[in-house]
Amino acid sequence: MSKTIILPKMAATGIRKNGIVYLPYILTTAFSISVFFIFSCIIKNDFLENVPHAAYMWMLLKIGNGLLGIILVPFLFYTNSFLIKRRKNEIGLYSILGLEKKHIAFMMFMETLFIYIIAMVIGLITAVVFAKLVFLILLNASGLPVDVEFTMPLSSFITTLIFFGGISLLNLGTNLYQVTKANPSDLLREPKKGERQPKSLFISTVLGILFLGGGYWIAFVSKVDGMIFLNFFLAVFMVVVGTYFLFTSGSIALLRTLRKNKNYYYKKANYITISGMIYRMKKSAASLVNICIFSTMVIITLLCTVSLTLGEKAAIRFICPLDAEYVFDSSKMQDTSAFETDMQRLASQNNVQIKDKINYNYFLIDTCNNQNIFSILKSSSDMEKERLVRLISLSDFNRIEGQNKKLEQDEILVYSNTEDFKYSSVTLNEKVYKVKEEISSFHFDTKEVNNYSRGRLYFIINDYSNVDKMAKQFNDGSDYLDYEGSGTPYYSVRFNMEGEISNKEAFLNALDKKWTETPEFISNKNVIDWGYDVKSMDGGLLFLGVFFGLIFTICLLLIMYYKQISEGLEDKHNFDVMQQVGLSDEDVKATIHRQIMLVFGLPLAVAIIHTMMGLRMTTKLLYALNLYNNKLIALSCLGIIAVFAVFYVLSYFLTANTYYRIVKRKS
Amino acid sequence: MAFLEVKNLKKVYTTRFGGNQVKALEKVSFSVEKGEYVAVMGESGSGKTTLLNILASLDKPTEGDILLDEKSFSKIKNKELCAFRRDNLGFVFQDFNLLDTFSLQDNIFLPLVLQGKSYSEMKERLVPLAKQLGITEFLSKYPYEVSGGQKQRAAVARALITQPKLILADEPTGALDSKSATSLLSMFSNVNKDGQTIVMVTHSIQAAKCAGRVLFIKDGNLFHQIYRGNSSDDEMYHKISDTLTVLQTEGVE
Repeated sequence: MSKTIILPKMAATGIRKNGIVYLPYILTTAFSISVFFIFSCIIKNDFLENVPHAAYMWMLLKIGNGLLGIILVPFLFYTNSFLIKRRKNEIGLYSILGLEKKHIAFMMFMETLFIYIIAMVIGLITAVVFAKLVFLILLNASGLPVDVEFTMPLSSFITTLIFFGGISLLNLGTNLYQVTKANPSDLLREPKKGERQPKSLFISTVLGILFLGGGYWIAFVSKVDGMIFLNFFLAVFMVVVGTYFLFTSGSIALLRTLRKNKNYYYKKANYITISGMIYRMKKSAASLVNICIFSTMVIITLLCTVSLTLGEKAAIRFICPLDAEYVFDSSKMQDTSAFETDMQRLASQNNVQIKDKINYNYFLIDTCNNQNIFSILKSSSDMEKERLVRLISLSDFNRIEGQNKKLEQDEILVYSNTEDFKYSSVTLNEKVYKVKEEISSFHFDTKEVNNYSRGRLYFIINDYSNVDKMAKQFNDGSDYLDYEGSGTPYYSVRFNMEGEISNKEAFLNALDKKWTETPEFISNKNVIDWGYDVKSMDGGLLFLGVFFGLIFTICLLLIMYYKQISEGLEDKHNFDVMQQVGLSDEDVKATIHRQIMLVFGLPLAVAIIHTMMGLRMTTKLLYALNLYNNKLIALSCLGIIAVFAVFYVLSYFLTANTYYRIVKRKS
Repeated sequence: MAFLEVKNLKKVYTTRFGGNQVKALEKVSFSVEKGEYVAVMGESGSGKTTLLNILASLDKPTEGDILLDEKSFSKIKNKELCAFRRDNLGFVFQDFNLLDTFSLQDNIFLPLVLQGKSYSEMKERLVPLAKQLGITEFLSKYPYEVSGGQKQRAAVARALITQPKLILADEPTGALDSKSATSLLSMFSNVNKDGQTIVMVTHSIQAAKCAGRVLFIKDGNLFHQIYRGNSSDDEMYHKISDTLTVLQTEGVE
């Protein structure tokens, strides 16, 4: 038989014979291909750019697609290293039997090609079958219209083929390098030597503490700003590195201490477990860290997803305490009641009832703020302390909040929708006012101390003519005004609606049509439009969360599975000997369970600690999405950890069983 | 009654896809007295290893039974078999079968740990044994750090430390150089002089000549046996060698 036939045949046999490790690898690759392809298709469907409210989701999916690529490359590379380790023996034998290096290279190339083709066919077929469904689910979760056409562009096929082709070539290159550089006897010989244990645990412990501490510190102090994503990745990176160092040095130190305790060490179950773990701790540490990191990622991803879904309504309401708001420039309105007349007329035409209507005048002034002193912006250096302040007259305030407060000429009321203002006096353009009272709540602007990005400060001044005067002072005295609306007298109308949702939309459309084109119009927002925006973003996040959760979980399972198989094969001989010397079947089971429990319990525990430390950062990210319900987040977190732990224990039993089947004596 | 009674052992292996039956042992009976040192010899495929596996209770005979100290193997439950093996038998293998994850000391302790002995008792037993076998200075080393002879001595220590009724050795000198082999065999002789019963399966005349009695197996049957009586090692060597010649030429015709 000619070589061109027999070598591919050997490659095919090689894959079939090693099905126990290749099958999960092929399936994982196929799944990755499906997800990658579907993401790529969705991004390339340009309708998302045209559909209103879909912009957020489109951006999120684009980020998701990039992240997916970043995660898949190292992961597939890592799993490949398990595969090639198993094959070295066989390839060494081929080499002794007379296959030259170029033949082996050709055989390995064929193997890679076969796996690539099989995974690609399975992955793409699955993707083509399910893409439309996934797409509809995405649209549905995002509250977008589902009656749009979905196409699978050729470029998505090409991108997927090239991306995974690249990964395959990378893996093939690594394998070829490893196999060709070693001589056959090296390949054949089982590596008997235990790992050299690090001489000094001190350095790696210190490095571990530094990195982990640094990561935790970043996660703890970072604020929600433009740097948050950079900080997030930096924190993740540092925690990963720190975990690796600490796992290695920490576990070796712990195991050594345990071994020194003779009475503990020389017990049946501990004895075998501890010695086995010390023997390959460095290698174990790497996969334990992987398991730990993937667990953390699954938990955090699910936490964000679940919290967002559960807290969506509250998040929408936070931005729109009342259903709708319209703001006008009152200096350009001859009659402020004209809008309200239109509003009432259009509402009754569309069968909508207006409720809880409020209207008030206010100014938004641009100031230079230093503690409780607010002065006119005079220089560019003042701009760093720029702060917008809202001025309302006492009569408007009393009317819309249903109060009956009184103020002297030099007194004001203060309201902040974030942290309390706290000062007992305010200096406004060199004039000192006494803060008579700090208001604790506005019903049209919800107070939330954790609100970073949308902080608003209100000063309530005794009468409107003073408000007007003060606004003019701040406005006219400055050449550095950043906010162009500064000094404009605003007139704001807000209201709730009752009626059918379609009627509400029709009413708002009619009102917008009539008033948003007028010269006096400044801005408007309503809970329905905002809701669509939020749903589009949350739905996109939810979609990403579910898919990433799924991918992380599969990665996690695969790492566990490979770890058990490779260790089971390594331990088989040991267990054989021990069973000959008198280790019973029950002892074998007990030992395995103890060993795996330690090996898997540790990453879970650390993953939970990581989650707790990352919770603050996660919460801040959720704050940025207007989700301020700490209790909800905490409860979701607990629930998810519980569910994840159950799932984790199940996969533990599954892998423990695989391990047991490998090491069990056949008789 | 003898210390170890082997009665009419028969072992038939059936190949996986039915049909073909291979008789490994046809009908083997012999007995070993307490304190005896018996070598079992035979060609590859003669059934030596099968016999040893059955003696070790690692495998079950198709027919027949074994009694050790009046206890019948066939009456031991599967569950108790492990404990029985642990408490009554000591093993020495050709390729040592030491665990790389343990130091030599911990390898030797392994059966005691499985028995649930306390550390102080283990240590008490080890010290004189290690001295006798000359491995005291290597105890903290790992198997991959010491020579084959040192490994085999550690393996012997592991077999002896439980003070078993019977030591079973499977080609113990097979993987050793001649100097290490000689030293291991004199160790066996010494242990035997102290009253330890040993059954050793071997190819090597060099090893077998040290035994008090040599059994020869051919094609699943006990073919012949010779006693040392008062002969020297050299005389024993010649006796065995002659028997092997007969064993190999007979039946060729």
